[in-house]
Amino acid sequence: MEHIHQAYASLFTVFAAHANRVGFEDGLNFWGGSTVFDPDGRRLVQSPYHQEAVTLAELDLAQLSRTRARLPLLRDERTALTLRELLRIQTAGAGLGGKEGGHD
Amino acid sequence: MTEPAPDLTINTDLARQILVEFLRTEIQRAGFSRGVIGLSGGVDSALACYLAAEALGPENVLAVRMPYTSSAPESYEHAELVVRATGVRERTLPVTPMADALFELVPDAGSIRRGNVFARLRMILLYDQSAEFQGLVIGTGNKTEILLGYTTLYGDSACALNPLGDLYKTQIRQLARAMGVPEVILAKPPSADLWLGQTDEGELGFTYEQVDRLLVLLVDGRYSPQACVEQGFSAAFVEQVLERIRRNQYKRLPPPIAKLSNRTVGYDFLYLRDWGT
Repeated sequence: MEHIHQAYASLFTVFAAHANRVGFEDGLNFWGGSTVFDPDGRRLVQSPYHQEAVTLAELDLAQLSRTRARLPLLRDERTALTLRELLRIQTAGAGLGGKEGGHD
Repeated sequence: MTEPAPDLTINTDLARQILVEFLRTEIQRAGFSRGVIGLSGGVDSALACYLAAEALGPENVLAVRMPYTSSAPESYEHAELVVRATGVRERTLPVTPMADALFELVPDAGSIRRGNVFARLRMILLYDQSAEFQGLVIGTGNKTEILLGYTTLYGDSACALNPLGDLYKTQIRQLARAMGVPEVILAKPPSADLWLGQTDEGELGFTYEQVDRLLVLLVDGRYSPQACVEQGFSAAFVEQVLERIRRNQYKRLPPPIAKLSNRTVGYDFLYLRDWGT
């Protein structure tokens, strides 16, 4: 789970905060361990596992511009191209019943 | 690059922490503070007893021994070891008079039927003790036997909650060893002790170690049967185990209700178990 949130933070060069539950819900165990990652993918804080906690993180918003200057992933993203591709896939999928290249 | 196949090793400290907290939380949520366990002398119920004693305090756990005349004497002694080590309360209620009265009515019942009778009579005794002791019945069925259907419906499978049902038999042994369950209990061949000389592995036709290695691939790893064969299991063994899992699906679910109205329990009347708690 932490790898996924770290990846989100790095990939979108954003702060990523994830608040997890602790304890049992209908018998199902939630393990806590909430995290905040910075735009470089650095873990700023993490709550303890299996224990309720209030966890505070201070976000240095200037880190956003510093990281994005170094790694301009958002600037370079061609949103028009992405949108066009998504629409093309959606249209093709509608025609083919969504089966193209599908796995179950 | 090949991803390593899932294996059966567990973090015993973490499993212990989660299962103890599970017992405490779920029993309190239901409005109780006590638990009742059928203690056979085997490793599963021994482990459940250790976990319950830690979760609820030994004075809040009642271990019930329910021997039949043909039960192995060492089962009784091994249960005694667990009671002494954990400090839980203990009661012995032989199942013999009930079972013999029933067998008089059906003298031709074979070993499977007789085995099921023992399991279900013990369920009756356990639930009666549950009412007297004001404790919930803690189940001791493990993941291997639940998947294989190696269990008696409304017998040993009947319980209010089960801390062990997501642990394969080989994982039960790991956790039991880590929690200090006596070695003599860990070392003996698993047996339902329903008739003399019965062993689980003899009856199933394979060892827990073999089948657990396959189940962890099929169930946890979601490997296809073919991929399991590629991992070194014989096609016949994979097929046999899959068929057992499929054939016993009914034991893992409540019975289907014939739908007539526009809102039926189990189909459109769906609430979580901990509804309102």
